[in-house]
Amino acid sequence: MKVLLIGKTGVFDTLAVAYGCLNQTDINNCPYFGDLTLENNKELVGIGANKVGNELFVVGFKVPEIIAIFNRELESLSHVNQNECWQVIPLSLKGENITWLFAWLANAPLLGPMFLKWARNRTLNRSSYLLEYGKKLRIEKNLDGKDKPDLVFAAKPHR
Amino acid sequence: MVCIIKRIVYFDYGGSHTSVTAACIHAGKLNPNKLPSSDDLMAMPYLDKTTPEDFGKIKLIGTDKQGNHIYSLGTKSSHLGKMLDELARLHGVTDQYLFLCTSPYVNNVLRVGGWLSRSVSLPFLGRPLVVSGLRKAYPALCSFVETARLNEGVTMQ
Repeated sequence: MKVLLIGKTGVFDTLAVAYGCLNQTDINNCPYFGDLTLENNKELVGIGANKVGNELFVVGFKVPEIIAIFNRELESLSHVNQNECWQVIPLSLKGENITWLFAWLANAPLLGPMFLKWARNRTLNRSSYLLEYGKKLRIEKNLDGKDKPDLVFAAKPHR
Repeated sequence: MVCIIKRIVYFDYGGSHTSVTAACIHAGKLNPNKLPSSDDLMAMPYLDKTTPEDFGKIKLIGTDKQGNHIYSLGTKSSHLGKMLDELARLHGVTDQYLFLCTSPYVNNVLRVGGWLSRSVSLPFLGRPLVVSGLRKAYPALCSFVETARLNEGVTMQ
């Protein structure tokens, strides 16, 4: 299974959440962390795979739910094989608007590097919350399972 | 001759004006050689009728002469083409889809009209501006659709 996490920022807060999902903590050493080119190009960034081989990707978009809706539409229109479906998870993180603002201002010509540093520091300062969010998400969405959660058939109802 | 049937998706910010108009031109619902009247435009499906819940939903407008399905889509962003292509590629359906952004054809009259009509829910103020803006952008949209059609012809083997 492949999992796509979408937050307002891709390589800042969402990346930290992905690290939490993978049970890793060292965000600062991630080569993609704070990479503005990836952020601006809205490229899907592969972060790694968990112990059962589920791959995690992140991307940033200002309205994450739209991508999840679009993905569902694409799956239903194209009759994509359910076993090959991607699990697309839109995130709603506390305080991510400010990180997004800093990341956006980081594109400014002169003061850009300062805002980039602020955006990176903001993610690092909030890393305990973001990593914890990722750990909770892993349990909640059964990301350590091999199947998409909604594909697991329910047992016979208990009478 | 084998014709590959595609799904051609015109998208823009709101998915209710230029994308719908371009899709209607492509699907043959609007005549590219004649400037449409206000009634012609307002009779088009989904034109200036979408709601915030419609963002991200792919709406079927019709089919073209080659049998390609023509859709419109609102993405709340004008720079999403790459991500849409990427998602299609990840699902292994990239050969089925063609995503075309109509945002460059949104003029200021249309922008203000669309905002008044859709975002502020004042269609009685916004619609005349939407119609005026769309009529202004119509020749460029026709040319864009024609180019897309010709490019699409390349995939016919």
